[in-house]
Amino acid sequence: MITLAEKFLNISMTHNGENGHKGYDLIDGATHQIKVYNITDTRSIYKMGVSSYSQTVTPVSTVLGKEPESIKIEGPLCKVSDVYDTSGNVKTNGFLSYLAPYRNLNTIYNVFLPCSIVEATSINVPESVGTWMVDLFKIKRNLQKRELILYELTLIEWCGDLPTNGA
Amino acid sequence: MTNITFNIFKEMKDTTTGKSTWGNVIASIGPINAEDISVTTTSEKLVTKESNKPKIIPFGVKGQGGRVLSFVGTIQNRSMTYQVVADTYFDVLQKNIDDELGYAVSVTSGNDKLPEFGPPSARWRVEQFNWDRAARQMGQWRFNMTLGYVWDPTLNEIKLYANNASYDIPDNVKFRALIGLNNGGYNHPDAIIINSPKITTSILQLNKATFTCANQTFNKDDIIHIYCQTDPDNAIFFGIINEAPKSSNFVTTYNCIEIGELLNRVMCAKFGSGLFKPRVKIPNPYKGKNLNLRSFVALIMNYYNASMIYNYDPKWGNDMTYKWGEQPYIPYDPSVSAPVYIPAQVLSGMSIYKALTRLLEDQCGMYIWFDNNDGTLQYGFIRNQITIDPAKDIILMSEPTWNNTEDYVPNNVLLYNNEGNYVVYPNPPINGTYISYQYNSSMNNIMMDSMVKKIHNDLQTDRSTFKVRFPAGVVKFKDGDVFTGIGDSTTDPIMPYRDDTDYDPLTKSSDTVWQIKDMTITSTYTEVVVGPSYFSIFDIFRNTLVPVKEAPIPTELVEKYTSEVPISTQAMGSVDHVSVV
Repeated sequence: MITLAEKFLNISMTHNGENGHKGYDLIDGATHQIKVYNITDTRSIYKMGVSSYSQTVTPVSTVLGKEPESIKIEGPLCKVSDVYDTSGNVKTNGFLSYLAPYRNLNTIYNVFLPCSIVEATSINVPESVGTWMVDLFKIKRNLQKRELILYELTLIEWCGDLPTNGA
Repeated sequence: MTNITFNIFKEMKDTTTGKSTWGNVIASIGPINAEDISVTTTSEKLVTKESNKPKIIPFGVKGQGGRVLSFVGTIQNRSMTYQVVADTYFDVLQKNIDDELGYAVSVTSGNDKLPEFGPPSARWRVEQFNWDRAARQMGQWRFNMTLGYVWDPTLNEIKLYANNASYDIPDNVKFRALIGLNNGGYNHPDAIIINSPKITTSILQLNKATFTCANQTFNKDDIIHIYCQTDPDNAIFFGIINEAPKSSNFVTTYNCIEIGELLNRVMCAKFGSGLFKPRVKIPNPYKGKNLNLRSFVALIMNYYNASMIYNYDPKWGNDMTYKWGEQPYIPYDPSVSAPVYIPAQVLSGMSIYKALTRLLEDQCGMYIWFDNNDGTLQYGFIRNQITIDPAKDIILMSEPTWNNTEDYVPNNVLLYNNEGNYVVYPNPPINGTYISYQYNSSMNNIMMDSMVKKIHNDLQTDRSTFKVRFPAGVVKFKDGDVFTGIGDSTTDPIMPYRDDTDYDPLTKSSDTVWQIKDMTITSTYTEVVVGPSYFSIFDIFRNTLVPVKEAPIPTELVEKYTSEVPISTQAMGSVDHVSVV
């Protein structure tokens, strides 16, 4: 189980009340609790290489930096019947109810919003702990248990500090 | 239990805004069996990976493929027979239409069974469709659809931007060109759509533009205005096609230069019947009175007025400083130098434009502009004030650019004049670093003391420049404009927010604002390079004040008499014509 405290960067051109000043005016979003079936943590270098075009000259490879660390998490999201009622409206006390104050369009594909920031904490999934940006969010059906919607979430490392509100 | 039904919508396009709407239901297909479904949403971001800590600038979602729904299904109870109605509308482009318009799908009933489609108001554009029939399944008609999400720009769904921002940029920003001197506007019936436009402007050079057209619609020497649909009444470029059009692969490319180029085609000369006098002079003082700057400019423009070409009339010059035009002095900072009268101008063999640049740029240190709508000549240090509209003018990204400041701020500054005399600031100097400068002109000690102090002060001011990118269609800026407030705290290094009003760019570095030095407008972005509006001593004196690494050798003029007959030297060239006020 991972707990993700969501924050929105809320890019504004009136940061600090100053017209024309681009800044992040961080606002709090929902707190998600997600179950995990699979998690992968990837770190890689970013390098440029020059081929040798020769059997006697070694190729040159220069390490320029680091790709942002990324984690991919998969698990169950909710049941199909827990989302909408038979009239096609968001179910009261259903799965999406905790998101209602934080979403302009509250629906299953907006459970995680790309470019939002999440602060992850977990007891038994230590590789997920940290501050991340949502890069990819996918929902799919479990073909064996069609009643279940699964999720796939790719998070990338948010390097640097989080802006404090109004900073 | 409600069955799943799809509604099919046809795309309608607004021909003026380019925006698509999906309001018209054209068919209803169902009931549907869903076999598999997934929705993927991917972010759009810029990642800079050259360091231990990568930098990330988030932009939202990708425009193409930002949110994709994959669906596999069959038509319930009829999956063994071919469905004409379904096949008509399960397509990527509308049949029976001349334009490239598509179809969209929404789940109209049965959302509780297919929540992945979202509410019935959500629209998914059919990007790819295939019927899949396999012999093993006895030829059952199964279909696979790849659907792209139609974003509602009023909803701020992704919540990346503040709620008050409506970055409702047109789907495709269009540009048009209109032949002729008059500012007809984007919606003029004779304005022609142009493609791949690129307009580059700079405060130090005439603006340039390049664009393509499918046919050879324009010719060399055509005078054109270029407009963007987001600001239909104001041209973003006014100039002349100065090169022969180049055709390749059925596309013709045009290169244009700003209308001020026409002033390069006319000489400062007096014409009359049987008369051609190309060597002209504007004397100063004239009849005991010193001319002001405005008069000099008007006298130069008088030569153009007598030989106007293409009916282009830049008028007599607008003084954007609202001060120096009425003064008889070269613009100066009173804390550093004494006033110096504008010298007499000898304009031998010069074009009008060259005469203007020699006076206004080289001697007065100003910039020259031409109004984009009517080509009026303007000159000054800063142009118009621009206020960012926080709902529309979003900074996509900003980064520092190369600038020509010194690598370090010295503790002491040495200044030499052209006779080898020097002063130092502070006096006595302190332990530490030095930079030496030479001023290539004569100057007395009092002026040198003031100048070296200003150099020391100006070296400590922040003269860094930033490149700032805006979305397509943000075209209200011009080179030379200053922002009433702009800054970016989301990047590293931060672009400091400056919002003061630069009252006098020659003095007081503390009230400097960001001024546009260069700008590029294309159909996908607008990019400006901004630097301080404050005119440092290096901007005023430019090539006359140079850093040096060794002291110039002092020289002394000595007269010697010999018994030889001195070779006579010709006097300074005689003039043919003297301008009068």
